[in-house]
Amino acid sequence: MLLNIEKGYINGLPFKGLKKKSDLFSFDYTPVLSHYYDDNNNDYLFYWIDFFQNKNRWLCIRISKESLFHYLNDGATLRELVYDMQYNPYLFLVNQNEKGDFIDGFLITANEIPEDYMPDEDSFFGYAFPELYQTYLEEYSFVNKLKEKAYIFNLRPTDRIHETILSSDLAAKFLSAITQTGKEYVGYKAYGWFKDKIPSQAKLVAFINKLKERYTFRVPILKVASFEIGLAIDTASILTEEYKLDFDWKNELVEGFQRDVLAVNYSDIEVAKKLAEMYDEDTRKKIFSPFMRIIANEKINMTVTNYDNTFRKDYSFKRIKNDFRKIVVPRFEEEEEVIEKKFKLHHLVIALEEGKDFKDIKTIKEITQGLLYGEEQDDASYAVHSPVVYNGQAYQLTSDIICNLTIAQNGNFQIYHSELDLIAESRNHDDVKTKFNTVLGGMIEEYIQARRLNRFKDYPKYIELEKYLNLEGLFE
Amino acid sequence: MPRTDEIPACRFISIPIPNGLKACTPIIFPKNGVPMKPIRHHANFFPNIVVDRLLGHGFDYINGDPERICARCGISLYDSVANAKKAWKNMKPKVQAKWNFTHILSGTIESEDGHMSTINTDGHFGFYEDAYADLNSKLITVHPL
Repeated sequence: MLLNIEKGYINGLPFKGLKKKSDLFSFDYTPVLSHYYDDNNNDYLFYWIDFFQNKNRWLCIRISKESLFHYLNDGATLRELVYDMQYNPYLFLVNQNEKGDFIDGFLITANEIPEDYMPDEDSFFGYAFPELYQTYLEEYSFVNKLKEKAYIFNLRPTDRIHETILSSDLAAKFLSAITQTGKEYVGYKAYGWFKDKIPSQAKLVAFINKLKERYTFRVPILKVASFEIGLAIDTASILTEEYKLDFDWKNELVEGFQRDVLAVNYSDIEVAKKLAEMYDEDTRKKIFSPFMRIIANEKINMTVTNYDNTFRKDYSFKRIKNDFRKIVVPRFEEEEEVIEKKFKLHHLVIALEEGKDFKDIKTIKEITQGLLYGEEQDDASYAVHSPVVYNGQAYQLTSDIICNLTIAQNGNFQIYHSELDLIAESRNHDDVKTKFNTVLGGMIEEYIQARRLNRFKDYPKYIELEKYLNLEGLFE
Repeated sequence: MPRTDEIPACRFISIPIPNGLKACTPIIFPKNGVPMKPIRHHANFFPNIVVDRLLGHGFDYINGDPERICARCGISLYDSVANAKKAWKNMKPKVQAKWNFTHILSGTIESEDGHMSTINTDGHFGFYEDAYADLNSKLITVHPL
């Protein structure tokens, strides 16, 4: 028997002129998932979910062409399309008679669909993008969507020895600088938007770092034989739950970057003062300094437009004035030195004679002789050993606290521990250890206080800390 | 078992099987059986046209769409075990019950075994066996579904 559905029965269906576009997948020549469209050019997926004798039942999902595009590109699962409430306040369970006609069904919400009928969690399309849909969904293709949101930078050398062809080192400097500005802008905006959603500072930092990598500029446009490049923030891919907010923040990023960075008049002192009011010095340095270096570079003339040419700015006529620089980034020149001195982490595996400690190594030669393996890495483990000394107290640990050591985009060293919700940051690697020790010691004191008041159970981070602390004699 | 030339629509099928073509098909493994050749069940190795005849399904082989009729004359095969498994997994268990397949048989088929239709993007193709072909001796490796 077909599964009993208690409510929402409808006699007849509200689709007019339903026509099949294709069977997206079949089994043994029997359609399992089919795409239909109606007279109003609405698109529907029909997923075969039940049968009894010669009758079939289908789950009918009305979908946008954009969602269909994502599904066929494995950017969304069939299950996620069911839950796309923005487009599907209601779905249909449709009964089909032995002649193949859709006769009646049920109007139902996604949450009312029996689990037996729901597509699986991993219900990705999983096949090559069907050729039939190349034209049908052309405007939704990933590259086209990114092109529409791209900022198109055109760079020409100021000397004409090589006509309009830019040298590779200037091109590389431009890409490095604009990437840094873009990433820092994403980080700055995302911090404001997500800080309430992720109250843990350490988790927020880890999340923002991930987001900066994910939304670094893509390159959907590249012109050959000159330097014209279109850079876009990926607004096309579907967001997973952790990235969702109640507004379209990705488009806000695109518009914001144009408004807050590209369209700024970099020769107007009043604008510089406004920027100084709006952003703290560190943020200004991170976001504006790399971009200002491109504009200030006398070897490049640069213009930027958007895809539909509603925005255009030529930076070659008005170079940045020193007064402007001094207000926005007071240590503009010194900063260049700092950038040159940026650190990276390198992971070495060294064979040591038994009984010897790493501290016994005195020469580089000893390291190279024992070196088994070396690799650059973004993140390293950092162990806090017992005891933790803070405010004259030595707190014993039952085991090392294993944290993460990383170098942030701005070149600062960071030590963080997500579960303990602790983070320390400094330009100097010794200083960051001291700072981390301080925040950890402070937390241990807080923990002792909370435990005395019997309130510590409210906080998962204290429970995590308790795993490491030797409690013996701590509360006497 | 009808010969392919008995049905006019089968003229659409003209692709020779390349030698050594990997092929597999979902099967129903008899619950009380031990591995044996052939694994006899009405749904194993038979095209829909035969199953329809055995089970009395009312598909219209006279007035139906010629391509569809033609497709139903072929045995459903996949070009890999992974593709056969995916096609099976695409269906909800309630729908899988229509076939009740339990295993996949894989092996290689040769040019003398018959003809085939174009391999679809999902790896599926129709196999139209020659009168003397012996699929039972070709598809012999058993995989759980």
